[in-house]
Amino acid sequence: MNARAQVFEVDDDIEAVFEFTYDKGWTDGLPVIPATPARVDRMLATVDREPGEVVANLAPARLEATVEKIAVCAVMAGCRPEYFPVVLAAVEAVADPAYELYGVNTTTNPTVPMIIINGPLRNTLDVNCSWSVLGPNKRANATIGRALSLAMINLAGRIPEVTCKGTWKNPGGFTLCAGEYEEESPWEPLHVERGFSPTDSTVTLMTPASCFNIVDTESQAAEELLQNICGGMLGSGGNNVFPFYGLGEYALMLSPGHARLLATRFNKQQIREFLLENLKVPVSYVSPRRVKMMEAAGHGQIENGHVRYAAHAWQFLIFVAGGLGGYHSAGFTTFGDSRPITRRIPAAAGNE
Amino acid sequence: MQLRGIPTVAVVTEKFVSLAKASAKALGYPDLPMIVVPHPFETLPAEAIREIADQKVHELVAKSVLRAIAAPR
Repeated sequence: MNARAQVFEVDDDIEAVFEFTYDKGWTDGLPVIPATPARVDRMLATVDREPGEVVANLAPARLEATVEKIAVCAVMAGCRPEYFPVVLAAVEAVADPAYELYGVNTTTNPTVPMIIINGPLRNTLDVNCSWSVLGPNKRANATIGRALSLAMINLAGRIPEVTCKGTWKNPGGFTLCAGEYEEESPWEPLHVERGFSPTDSTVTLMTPASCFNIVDTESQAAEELLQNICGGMLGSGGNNVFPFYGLGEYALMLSPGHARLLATRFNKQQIREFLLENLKVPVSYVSPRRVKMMEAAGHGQIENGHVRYAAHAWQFLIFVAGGLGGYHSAGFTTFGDSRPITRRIPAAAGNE
Repeated sequence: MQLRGIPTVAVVTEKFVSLAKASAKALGYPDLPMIVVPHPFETLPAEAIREIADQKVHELVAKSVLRAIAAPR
């Protein structure tokens, strides 16, 4: 058990609070909601956990991230109390050793955590799965992602230059949270594919280095659309291929329109297998030094004069989100050997 | 390695010293000895790396021996 969070006295003025919290290094550079004990208690009331319980020792600082301190981050981020079980599940997910949080938070790569929310809770909490998803709009997406980011700053000790050696950072580092548009997906939802029940609500955490648009406005058949999606992923800039590291996953966020057309011919596994086979460039696109390094890595990515972007079909994580009738999907690259982690969000007061 | 009880000296490039110190401290070894080498390191030609190794090897051996002597038996 860890000591309860410390209380500081600040003038009852919104700018004074911003200056104080910014000077303390507790913010992401944007104003935060003052985490008063009453506000923190309202978060804590949504979970059946002791405030002093140590949820994780988050890398690199490995400070004790207690339930209460995570609640402080959620308040500062602007979360409604009923979002807190989602934030807590997200923190537990990134603490899974397979997520490799030390690498995520300290690498020179621009990678940051991304949250994908599945299950009935999306609708209860008004999580955006549709138009302008990942953009600045819905409070649930904006503040749940931000709460995780503030936990990285305050509880994992992700401090630029000192511990975080990110050369630049994905702007999704402020907040990066999407819901899957399950109602408009022709396939089973991501969390069901990953072993959960359709009635469960979950968070899936991955760690994209960057996000890129994949446009197709003209395809009339699934085959041509998939060919263009594959082409759209060529410039992904992932560490998998450029230069050679590891076996991390790509994420492919298909818009409902693209997903519907693809589903006339393909299931998700067939899409993954197509990408595995066809997402490749001639070795002449890559320097000889890099080719040599990729060969030495031993993942079998150099084959018949081509550099493959992945070594296994499971390296493509697929979910559906975006506005209806849209022509744009999105790809996300991994930074390396971080595995996506899915965790169930326990039902909580107000979220039944 | 240090966590497994093997007395360890870390070799770190100069741009990563702050992270190495913070990480060692977080894992309970605030006094973990370090050898600092120039940055970038991995893009240097092999001869340049060998030259740095020659310069640093005495420091490395000295710190390793001290670390081993100080290690609990």
